[in-house]
Amino acid sequence: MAAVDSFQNGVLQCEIEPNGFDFSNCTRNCALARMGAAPPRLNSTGTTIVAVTYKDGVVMGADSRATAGNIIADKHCEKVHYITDSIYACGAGTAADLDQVTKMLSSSLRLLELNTGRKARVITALRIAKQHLFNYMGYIGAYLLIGGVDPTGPYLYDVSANGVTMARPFAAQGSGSYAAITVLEKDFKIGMTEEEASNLVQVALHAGMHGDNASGNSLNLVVITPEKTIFRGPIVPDFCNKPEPIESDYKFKTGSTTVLKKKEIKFDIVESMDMH
Amino acid sequence: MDGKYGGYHTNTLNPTCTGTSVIAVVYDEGVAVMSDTVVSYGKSARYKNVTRQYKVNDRVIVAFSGDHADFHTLQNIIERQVSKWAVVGQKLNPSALYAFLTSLMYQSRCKMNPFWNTLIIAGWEDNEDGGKPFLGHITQKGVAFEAKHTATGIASHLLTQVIEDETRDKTALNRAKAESILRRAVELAIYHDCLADNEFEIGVVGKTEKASVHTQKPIIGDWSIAETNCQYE
Repeated sequence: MAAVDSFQNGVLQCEIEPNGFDFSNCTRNCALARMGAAPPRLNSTGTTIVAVTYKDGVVMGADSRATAGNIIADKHCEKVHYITDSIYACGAGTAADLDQVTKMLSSSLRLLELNTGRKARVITALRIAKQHLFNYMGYIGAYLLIGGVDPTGPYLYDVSANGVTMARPFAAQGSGSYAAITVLEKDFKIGMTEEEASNLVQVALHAGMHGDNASGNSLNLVVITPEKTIFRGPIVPDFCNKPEPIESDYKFKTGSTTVLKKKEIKFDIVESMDMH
Repeated sequence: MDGKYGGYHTNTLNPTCTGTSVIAVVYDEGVAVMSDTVVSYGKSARYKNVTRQYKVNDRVIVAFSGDHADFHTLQNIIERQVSKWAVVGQKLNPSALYAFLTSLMYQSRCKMNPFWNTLIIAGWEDNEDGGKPFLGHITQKGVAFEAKHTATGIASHLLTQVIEDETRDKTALNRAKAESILRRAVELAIYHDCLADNEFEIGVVGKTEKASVHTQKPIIGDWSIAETNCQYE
């Protein structure tokens, strides 16, 4: 009897404590919204992130703008996240989720390195990320480009929030990815040099930062080779310092509307609220 | 919305048969417009060899993206305008057609019955200084602007920056360079636009060229990177 009870208790426990996110606050949130209380805006990284593999390694780059709705929340947001000395992840999506997921990946891989005595592999980072994100069915808004060099070679992978992964020679993610991916499709070649790859990443980031409102301010680069990892940034492109001249003419020219009558009213200033 | 016919919708709510992006570039003596020749029914590439550019007269070409049926109606309306102008012995010029279509699109949108199209008006504008190229872009909501290069639909996100890199701060393009930019744009568009096709047309109108639309050789593109993703991860 006792054994059945404890088993039943175990089953009941599962029903009471489900895994994954607890959505029980949703009813409360709906009620609050109906009363007029607006929920806090998610800090999104509305981003351009780009990564390119070349002959020996990987170059990865990202812009540095974090947006909260239409406001720039952080001008110098760090979107190139350290995983290990030779593995980095660029992240687009919800800023908090990205920070936590990449920290989790970094610590998991470090523990694995200590336990196995071997350098962690890029594919391991991918597997851990993929299995974690799929578990949360896309509610953890992390869109990552995981790239690096391990004893078996240079790799670049693309992970989405719902757990889809793909190995790629070049990739772009985020709201600025439309502009960036076209630049990559245009100029990517297999077997580029480090300098060519680095330039390509920068041009692709410029396209994203220029064309997308939610990307900009400055860019960060990391170049990962078998021997070393070089972090470059923040680099501020010219058009982020000084806006380019506008080509279109939007204004109505003076004289477009005929003035029929003019009346001048003179008044004296009795009291001024001007503060100098 | 209740229409006159008792409960039936008489206002455009969704597009049915649609054309995807149109890309256009101004060069020193004219304008070149690229559009592919497929009209999609949702995600199905249902109608092939359909032209999405309409030659109004020697000086103006109108290209569309969006609903095909709405564009047919617009073609009829434009034809009526051409006749009205012909009655007083005038040929419709690009800026006049652009202004007319802007008002038309905006008015329809205000009546909550829009023409579900984005229009590109390309032409050669005659003036006292010998004329200049004209390129106008009108959206479904009636937002209208002129530009030196423009794209509609997904191509506006994908290709604007790349085309801008080729044209900004550089010496004025000639027709051959403009067409080669458009051919490159087609290749880049088919990589990332599901509804785009590699069979396309380029319409040209300019100082010495009367408006004409030419079928182009299809572009295959480079798909060699497909071989790099043979991994199970």
